Amino acid sequence: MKEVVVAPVALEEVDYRQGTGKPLVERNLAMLGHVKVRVDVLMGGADISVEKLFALAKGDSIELDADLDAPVALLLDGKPIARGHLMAAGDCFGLKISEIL
Amino acid sequence: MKETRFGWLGESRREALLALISSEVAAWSSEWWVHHASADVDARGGEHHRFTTQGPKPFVSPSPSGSLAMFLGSKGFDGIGRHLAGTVDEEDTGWARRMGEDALDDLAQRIFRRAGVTELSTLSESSASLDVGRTDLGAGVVAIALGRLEWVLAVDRQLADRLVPPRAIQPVGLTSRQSALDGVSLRVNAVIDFGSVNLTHLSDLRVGEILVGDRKLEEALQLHVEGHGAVAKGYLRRLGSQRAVMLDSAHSQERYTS
Repeated sequence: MKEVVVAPVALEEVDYRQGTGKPLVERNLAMLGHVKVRVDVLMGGADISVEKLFALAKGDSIELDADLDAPVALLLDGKPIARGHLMAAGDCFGLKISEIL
Repeated sequence: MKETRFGWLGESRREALLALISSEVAAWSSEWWVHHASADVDARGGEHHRFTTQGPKPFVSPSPSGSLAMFLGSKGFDGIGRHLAGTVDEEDTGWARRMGEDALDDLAQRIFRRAGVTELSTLSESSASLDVGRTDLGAGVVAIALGRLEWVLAVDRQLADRLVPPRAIQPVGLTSRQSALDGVSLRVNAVIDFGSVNLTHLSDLRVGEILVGDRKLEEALQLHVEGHGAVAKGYLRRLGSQRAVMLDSAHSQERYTS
């Protein structure tokens, strides 16, 4: 039987420095088409005191500073990227886009 | 470590300190200066850098309650003694020196007593406490003249505070941090975790299109505290013409940070 030498893998030290030259990966979002990102919808907000926050209990309601028919914001990574109106799409929420960059 | 407080004495306290030292110097002069005349005794406030930053070391009387320094310039105790005694006799320097030293010690002790300090020490030459003459550290500096004789007397901030205590600011009752915090306003946002979307779908999204999420209509939304994250769950409701959230439970996981 052939003898195999077993030894730890030794890695070459790398200099930590900014690479120079052309980016290796071309910016092409189509390439990431199958990648999924999570988005949120901001329905509105309210200003409340610390005292009220810590007194909130089940069944309490907070009035938001948004009219019922006001557009809502679609958030990607916490940043608003579009506005629209909330719809019922079957038994899920849908968002009809009214403004987007 | 000695803590040195930066800052000048206020104008009204400097004036009060000058008046106090003036009256002590006048009383002292009447007992020690043979040619004493009220009109010839003068005390002036100011910085008097010529005395406090140049020339020989000052004579300092230190105490745990503050320090006092005499910047005599080129005059020694003997010069002071001769002037007080009204003599120009260059002989008997020892006698003149003792008299000058005793007289200035007496002046220092009068001022310390006015400050309520009982642990007194005599004046001795020192360069270790030059801060005593720095007005930017709250020292009170007064130039004293008895006729032609001039020197500078300085008290450090600690002693100045005892001589002319700072007027206490209008006492305001403190509030506990807890109750003060209760009134602080926070921004809370009602956020629906809409779900996952393909990047392609997101970049192709146009006005008029409907983006369908994977969040069910009956599912709860989250209440986020701005800068912190989700703190509670609730359901979207209406309150008159406004949207509202009816709270249901606490939120145990945080994901979104606005």
